[in-house]
Amino acid sequence: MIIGIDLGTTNSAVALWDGEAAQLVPNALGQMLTPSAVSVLPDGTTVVGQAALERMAAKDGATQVSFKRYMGTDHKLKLGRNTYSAEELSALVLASLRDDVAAQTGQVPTEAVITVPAYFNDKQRKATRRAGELAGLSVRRLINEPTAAALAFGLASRGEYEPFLVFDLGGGTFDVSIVEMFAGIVEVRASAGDNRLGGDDFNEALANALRARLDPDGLLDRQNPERARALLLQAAERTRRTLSDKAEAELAVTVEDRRLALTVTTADLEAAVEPLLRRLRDPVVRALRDSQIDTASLSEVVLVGGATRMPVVRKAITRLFGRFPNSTVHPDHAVALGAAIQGGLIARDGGLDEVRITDVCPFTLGVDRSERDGRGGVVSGLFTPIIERNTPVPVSRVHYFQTMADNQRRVEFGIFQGEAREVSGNVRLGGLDIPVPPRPAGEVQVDVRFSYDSSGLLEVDVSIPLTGESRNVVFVDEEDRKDAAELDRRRRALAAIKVHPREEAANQALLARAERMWEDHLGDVREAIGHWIIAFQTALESQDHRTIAQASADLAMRLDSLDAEMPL
Amino acid sequence: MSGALRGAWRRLGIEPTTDQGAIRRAYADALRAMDVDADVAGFAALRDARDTVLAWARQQPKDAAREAPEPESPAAPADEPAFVPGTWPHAAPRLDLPGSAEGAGVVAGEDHGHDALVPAPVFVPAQGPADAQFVMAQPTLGPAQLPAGELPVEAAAVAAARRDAPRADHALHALLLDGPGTEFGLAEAERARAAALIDELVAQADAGGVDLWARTEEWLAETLARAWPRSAPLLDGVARTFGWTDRPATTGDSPAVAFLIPRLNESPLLRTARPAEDALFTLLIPDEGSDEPLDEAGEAAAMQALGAVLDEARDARIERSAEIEGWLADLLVQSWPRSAPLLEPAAQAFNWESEHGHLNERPQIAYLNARLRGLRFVQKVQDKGHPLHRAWQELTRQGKRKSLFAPKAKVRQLIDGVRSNFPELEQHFNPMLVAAWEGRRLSGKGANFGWMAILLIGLIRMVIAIADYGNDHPVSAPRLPYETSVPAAPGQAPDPPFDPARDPVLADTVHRLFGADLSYADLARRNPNLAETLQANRRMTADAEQLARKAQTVLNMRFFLAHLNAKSPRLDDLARWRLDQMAAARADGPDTCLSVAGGGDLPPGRTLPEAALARQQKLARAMLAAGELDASRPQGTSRSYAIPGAMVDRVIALSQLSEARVRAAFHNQGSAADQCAVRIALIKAALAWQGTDRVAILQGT
Repeated sequence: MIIGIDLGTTNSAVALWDGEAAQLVPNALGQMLTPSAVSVLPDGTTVVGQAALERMAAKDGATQVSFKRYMGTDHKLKLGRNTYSAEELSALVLASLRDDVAAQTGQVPTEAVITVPAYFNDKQRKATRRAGELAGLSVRRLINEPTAAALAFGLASRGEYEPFLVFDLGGGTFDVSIVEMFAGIVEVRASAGDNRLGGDDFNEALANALRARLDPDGLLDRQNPERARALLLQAAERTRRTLSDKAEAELAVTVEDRRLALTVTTADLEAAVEPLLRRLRDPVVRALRDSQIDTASLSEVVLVGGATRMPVVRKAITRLFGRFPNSTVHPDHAVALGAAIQGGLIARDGGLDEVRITDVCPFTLGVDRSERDGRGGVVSGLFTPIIERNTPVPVSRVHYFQTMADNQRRVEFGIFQGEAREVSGNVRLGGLDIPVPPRPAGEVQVDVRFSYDSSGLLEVDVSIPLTGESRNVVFVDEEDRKDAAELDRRRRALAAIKVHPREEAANQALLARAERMWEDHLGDVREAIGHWIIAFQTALESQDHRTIAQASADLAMRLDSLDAEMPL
Repeated sequence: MSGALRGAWRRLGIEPTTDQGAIRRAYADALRAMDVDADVAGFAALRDARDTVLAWARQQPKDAAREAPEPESPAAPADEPAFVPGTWPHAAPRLDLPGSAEGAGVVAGEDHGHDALVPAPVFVPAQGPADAQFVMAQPTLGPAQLPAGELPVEAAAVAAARRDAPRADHALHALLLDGPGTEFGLAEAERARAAALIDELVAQADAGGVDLWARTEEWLAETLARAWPRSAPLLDGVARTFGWTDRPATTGDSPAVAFLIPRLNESPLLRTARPAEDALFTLLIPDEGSDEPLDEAGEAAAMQALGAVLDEARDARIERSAEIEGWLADLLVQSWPRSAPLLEPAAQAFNWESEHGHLNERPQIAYLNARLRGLRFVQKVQDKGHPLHRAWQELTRQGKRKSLFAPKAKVRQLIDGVRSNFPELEQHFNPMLVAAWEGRRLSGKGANFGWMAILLIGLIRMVIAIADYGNDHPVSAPRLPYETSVPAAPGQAPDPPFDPARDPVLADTVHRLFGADLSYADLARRNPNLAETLQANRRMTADAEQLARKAQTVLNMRFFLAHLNAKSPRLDDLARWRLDQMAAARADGPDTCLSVAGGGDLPPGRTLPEAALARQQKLARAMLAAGELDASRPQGTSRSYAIPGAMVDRVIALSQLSEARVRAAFHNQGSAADQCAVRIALIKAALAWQGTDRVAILQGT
């Protein structure tokens, strides 16, 4: 069984190929989407998903969300008394999804296809793969999110399509892919993206634009900055969601027992996010240009990702393409379903015999080189592309280089990804160093071969034809160098984390929600919520299933009715 | 069939076919049969095979269609312009000066795959059977033979009632199709007059009933279509009147309407003189060709126009917005430094800075990004906290002597930094102070501190320019060097007898070169050699457009040769003409600019702006009258001259390049863009220079 996982910035989902179609697997709360949030409860146990998200702005600051943004970096995220890397936190989310599948099917899955934003770089991809391994999943393939969505879209109709465009604006990343479908072949023609643009940025822009108006006395400035930020972002997210249906919404936070509130209109939102909307254009233009397709030849514009629900984004899209986008696929489900289909493809499932998918490498990969300028000096740090962006993968390309100095003893290459002419503007993926026989300058040739596989992972081979010396897989990045034992140690460390029992997840989420609402409200309402919480905790301690079920239903109903009364 | 193509069919495992569906299915089958991860090379080869074969197949039906054009083809849905693979967005019609003569030529582009963008050939006589049909239905309209082209009687009666005015349909026809200068775009006054005539016709039709209305619609459509693209600025109004907007062409439409409807969606900037774009263009590139900064009112107006243009780009769909972006970038580059105040908002709107330093940063954007960083630096350095602030103040103040209190190292750092990074900023400095800091004296004589620049101009370059010409536009007749006069050899008399004095194409060509009132006979009298050259070329082609290009080549060459020996004031005129040429060529790219600087031609489709064309005609007339349009070649093959130091400074300032880059360009090294900029700057500097070597420099550049 190969499961398909959409590991998102805001939400994650898991799906299975059942031989005929891809099916989403619900979590313990019965929901298809699991928030990508991890929190440590005061008792030291860890919760993942909705319960953790509710604790986002809790005073103890023991919650992490949107950690996907730090994937592939050394950034450490604090969670309670410990710090974790983004891949470790992602592993906790993956493990929770894995358990959801186990709960539904009765067997623990061991293999997975995990989606990544098309514009994720090599480091981010490797980190994602390690996250899967840390969660005890063998990652059979990483698949680009818009590609997965295209698979889901294409297979849902099984039609032939002129090129269509997948517009994937998620919580933290933005991807555009141009895809063609014919005779069962789903072919990605070009992808482009911005891996620093998503729904979170819209929240942040809204919060920043309105903070001064919301809080003229600087009340928030006196709070712990991280908590103030979490409160604002959470409030902005709620406001933004409400603005998807209504022309006005309230932006409200409660701090120091004071409730700050502001009425926000769609015009406010539009003004605040205008610079972000402008950033949507570049990747679209790049993808169209690279695939040599104009908007008039596109048969559809398929929207994926929760942030495409925003009317301001839809408006911008309609403007860009001069037409209304297609919303037949579920923007939050398509990616996970596509991942499950890819899983079925890898397992050579009979239902997918006719289907094949080909993808591209969305960025340029190459090495740095030096050359002599006209005056006899040396210019270094120039980028030599070896695999041009939007080359179909898998691909293998070789470039030849020569030594520059007489009796040069070694050749060093930095391996880079990006579009800048000088490597300083690109992402360094690693480096390698190979000895060469001492000869006059230019006599020793060095062959550098780049191979980029279907998962979007890069392998570099260097050889010196003169000596026959060659180094396979010389490309090593810092994390990869850590040996298997190290990986195993980290896996055990993660496994030792006491995760809150799955069967209690729903109650935990409810409790966290009640606590969050207690913080959000004042006066009598707050007092009432306090009573409800105590009643629910008492019921939990009774350990009697029927009592707990009854109390939980009561509390949920009360909180729902309270939410419905908002804004106060 | 080439070997590559044969191999591709073999790999796909099918017989050659033009059925693209079959090709894709074959590819799909082959792909399913392989494991791409295990056979990376095989996958690449399979894809290559498919792409090769698909490209071939796409070529096939297109050619077939060209031989027998389908009647529906002009009626393609208006919102789906045919896409030309491999060329977007560069193949998108370049936006040129709204309403100017360039528009027409530029749309055609250089690539032969652009047919969709070229004004439909149906309205040009002698293009094929289908066209002939249309031409028959609409014979050449002249005032003498009006029946087919004139408006129905009712309208004529109405018009005739107004004895004082000529018939509006005749007048419009003359204005668009028959009058002098109809090969150019409409001037503003002409456009206004044409619009008034159309209004008059519409008013008459409105009063006349359904039948007259329909016939007026048809007549106007045909007139506009035949006068395309000259009639472009009029299209919007007419289309609105007759409800051609917001609908695709249908089979029920006449060919003329079906031709016009898709044009409504085509690059409106090019088509209509839009106030904002027009205003921006006129403000930035005034007719007098001023390099002076905009005054306050001008800047405010330009900002307002820019705002309107940016708004339009923001609300437009992607291609359109990309088109506006390209147009604006070109305009800002061409009008720099006048355009400086507009750069920041434009760059922000289009995110130009995000492209900085990228592998495929567009050249104009690279240029603008460099200027932008300069502007930013000037802003930052005004701040007291900036480390170079005091040095900046020292160099920008009044006075001649360096201040004792200025930070020496910083001042040097600033001078060096500005020269290598933002050369255009040197204009902010007080030159006396810069000289004082550099320990050199400014003087009129270059020998003190200047250095010699030697320019070699070989005749080889001219020969190359001549030989290159025609490579990219195939001529069916054997190629003759255009400068060779071909006397009619005995026994080879052209058949049918050809009378150059009566040939309309030749007459047109002469008009274009020398203005409307010079006939071929006049030319033959004054310069028989030139007349003969034109005539020889005329016999090789009947295509007026092609002949016009060749004639321009001949004229260019003669101008170029003349400038090598000319003396002032003619030398100055020629230098200014060359500046016009290079400015037009620069819009095409630095390589074109260099080729033009060496006596080459503007590429097909790129013509001089109207004002420059008028200047060229005037100059040609003057030189013809003075007998200066000979094909004599100058003595010697190379020349060298010294450029005085002060002039070098001027060139640095004008070209806005660093001294090192200017120096390299003087030696014909460095990028083509640099060389082009330096050449232009050198001619400008020499024109303003009154010292020794002026003549040598003007002749030599």
